[in-house]
Amino acid sequence: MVRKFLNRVISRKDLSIDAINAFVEGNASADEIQLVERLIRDDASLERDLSTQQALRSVLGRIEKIEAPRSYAVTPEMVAAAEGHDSLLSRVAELFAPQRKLALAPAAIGVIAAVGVALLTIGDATGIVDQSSSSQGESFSTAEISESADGGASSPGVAGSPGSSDSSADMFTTEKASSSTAATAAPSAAAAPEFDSADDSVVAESAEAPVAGLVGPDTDSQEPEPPSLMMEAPTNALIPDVDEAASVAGSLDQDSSLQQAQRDSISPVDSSEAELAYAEDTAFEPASSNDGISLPLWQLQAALAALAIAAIGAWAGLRRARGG
Amino acid sequence: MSVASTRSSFKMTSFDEQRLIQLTRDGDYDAFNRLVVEYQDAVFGVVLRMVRNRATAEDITQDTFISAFRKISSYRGGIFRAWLFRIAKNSSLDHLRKIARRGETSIDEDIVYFSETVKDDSQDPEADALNAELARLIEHCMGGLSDDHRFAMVMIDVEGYQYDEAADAIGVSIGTVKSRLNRARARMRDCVQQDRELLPVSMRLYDKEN
Repeated sequence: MVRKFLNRVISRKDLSIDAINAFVEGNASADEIQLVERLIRDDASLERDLSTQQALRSVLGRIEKIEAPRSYAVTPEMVAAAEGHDSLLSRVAELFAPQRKLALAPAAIGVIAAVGVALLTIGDATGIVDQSSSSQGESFSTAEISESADGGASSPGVAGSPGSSDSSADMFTTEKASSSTAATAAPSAAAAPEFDSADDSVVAESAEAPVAGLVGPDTDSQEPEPPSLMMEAPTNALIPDVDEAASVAGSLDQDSSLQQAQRDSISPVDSSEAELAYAEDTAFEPASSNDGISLPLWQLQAALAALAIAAIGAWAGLRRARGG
Repeated sequence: MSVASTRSSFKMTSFDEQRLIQLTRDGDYDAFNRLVVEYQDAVFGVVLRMVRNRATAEDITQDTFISAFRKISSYRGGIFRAWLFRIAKNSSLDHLRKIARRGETSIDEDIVYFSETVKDDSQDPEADALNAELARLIEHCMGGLSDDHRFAMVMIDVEGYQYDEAADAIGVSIGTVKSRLNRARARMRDCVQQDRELLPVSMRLYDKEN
């Protein structure tokens, strides 16, 4: 019904255009003249418009034709030069020429990839999509463990408290610089009896240093172990067990309980417990246990973005080479 | 190679044209250059009215014929001139798009690119001057049309080609050409009416009456 109506309207409009054009050109048939006269009856201004158009057309028709200023004859050299200018891209475009729609494929791929990047970004922002437990997840866990072990030993937050001296701050800086090695050396050293028994051992120092640092200027004499010494820790101790961490925390707890009275503000015991609890909660849980979908997000985003740029670039290049 | 640089002195028939096209397919430059001589004025005229820059029009015209020679195998019958116009039109539109993208204006309004004037039988110098002004006004108004409308108007009203040939050249249906021409004429009418004193009396009659 609607289509019929539209077709009638369109065909009427086409008829009007045909009739008006023919009238202006002076080629109108009897039917067309009749139609134009009817249109003029409906709209008086049309007569003036048509008359102006007739006059205009007659002026346009009287414009002299332009002559070419020179010969545009083609020589083999010109053709060879044109072929030489053809880039690899235009040759690729030629391949697409018979199937023009195929040339849209790179554009479609580009758009899909761009949409993928956008969805991942939105998913990341809204928390639907999260980083997977790939190599990056593991390194993140290791860092957390190191920090928690280090926190149990050195308690950086406590060392940075107002009660700490400059020397303890320096010590913290030094230890932080070698945080991962120091932290990983601690549990392994704790396992070795000769180090465990000695007060000045690596374990004692790494466990006591921040506590001593809290005490004040008395600890100035204690210097952090040189990083080279700490680096001797075996690599298999990089990720400590919970028990080892707990034993370190336990020894720390004993030592720190002796100096509890001297401290008025933050308790490193609480802090280390909190750190340990945090380590247990986060570091030893697989990162993939999140509620959302876990993907190697940034790699995927980068790959999709590169694909989108390459595909859209290829499409634009093809269009340009094809001259369309 | 003997390249005729002068105007073709014979009227080419359809038979001649098809024979020359066949020879061109075999790589005959002489045969193709006879086609060039036949159509170079028409191609140059349309291109110049499209791009409105003489140097650019010369380059595009030359490129059109080189492309036509190289792609002659893709010509599959029909009006050969329309096929040439289509190549020329695509090159012209590419050029216009490029300068539009760069935000340039290749049209130097101070230069009259159309040496021709509106033909007038009278030998009156004043009338000649008026005609020259009128030609400029028309060119100015045509410059204000969209590329599609301008091409339709140039092909039919200025160059005098048939609708089917224009439709072939543009690559649209005859109905679309008619519609574009109708709109182009209406816009031209509105534009030239703004400078009434240059218009021929026939175009000013209604204004006087009103």
